[in-house]
Amino acid sequence: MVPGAVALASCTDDSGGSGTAGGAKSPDGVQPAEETPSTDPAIVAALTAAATLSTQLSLQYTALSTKFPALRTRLAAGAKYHASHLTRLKAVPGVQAVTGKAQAVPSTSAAALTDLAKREKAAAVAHAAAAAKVSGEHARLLAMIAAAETQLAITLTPKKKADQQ
Amino acid sequence: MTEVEALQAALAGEHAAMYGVGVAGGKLSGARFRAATDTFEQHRRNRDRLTRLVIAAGETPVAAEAAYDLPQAVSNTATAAALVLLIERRLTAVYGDLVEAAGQPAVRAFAIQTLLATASAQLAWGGAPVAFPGDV
Repeated sequence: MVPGAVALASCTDDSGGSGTAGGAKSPDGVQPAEETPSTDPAIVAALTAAATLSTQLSLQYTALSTKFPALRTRLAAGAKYHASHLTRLKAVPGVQAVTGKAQAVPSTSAAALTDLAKREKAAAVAHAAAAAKVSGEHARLLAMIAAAETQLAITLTPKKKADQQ
Repeated sequence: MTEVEALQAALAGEHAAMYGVGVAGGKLSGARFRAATDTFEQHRRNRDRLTRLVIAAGETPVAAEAAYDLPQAVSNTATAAALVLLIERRLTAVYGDLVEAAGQPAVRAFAIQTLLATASAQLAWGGAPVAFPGDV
């Protein structure tokens, strides 16, 4: 096995060096009692914008599920993932989502899915652009959220007949 | 992980991906074979881009191995598609590392773009959306 060939080598969880660490502890193992938010204001602003957009998407999923109960199963994963995104974003000190209202829902379920796919795609573009403007773990978080939204946009987009053959 | 270490890891991953997709392509036909060919070409372009970035950083690009151990036997269409899916999943994490380690905007932009591309490719090979593609 080639050590560097990570695409084919088995993954381990003990390699360290990547990902987001959990709560930091001091050298004596004590968790800091109360940390003052010290994240760069530009990063807080970028993550707050992302949290707000995730909240809006969550509201849209809820509105669609309410109007079209038959879509609930199809929408469940996306709704859950946006909630996860919001949790991770709001874990950064100073980040808060601005809660708005759900946008108008199209009158048919097919149109509603197409509309939601467009919103996911637009969010992915926005979050990828935001990721490019920050660095480190925050860039990774925004990029992963953009990747999830890209995946959701693909799965929500109605397949053309040629794709189904 | 430094930026150049992450670039080298991504390059090693792309070398391995080209090998794995090549093996998988041997068990595919029709539209699936064409998709594998496109995937192979995309990884070749990524490999070339990463090679240039490593050289620009003053390092020697990691070389490809003659062969790689496959994580599972590839004997039919299903196992071939499963191998490509596994490769894309692992590369997504590798590019997540590169996004995190990138210091230069151009490297970060490439890593983000490729992370999104590999996350999308997962769906084409039988994967489903996840909350955080590229998370470790």
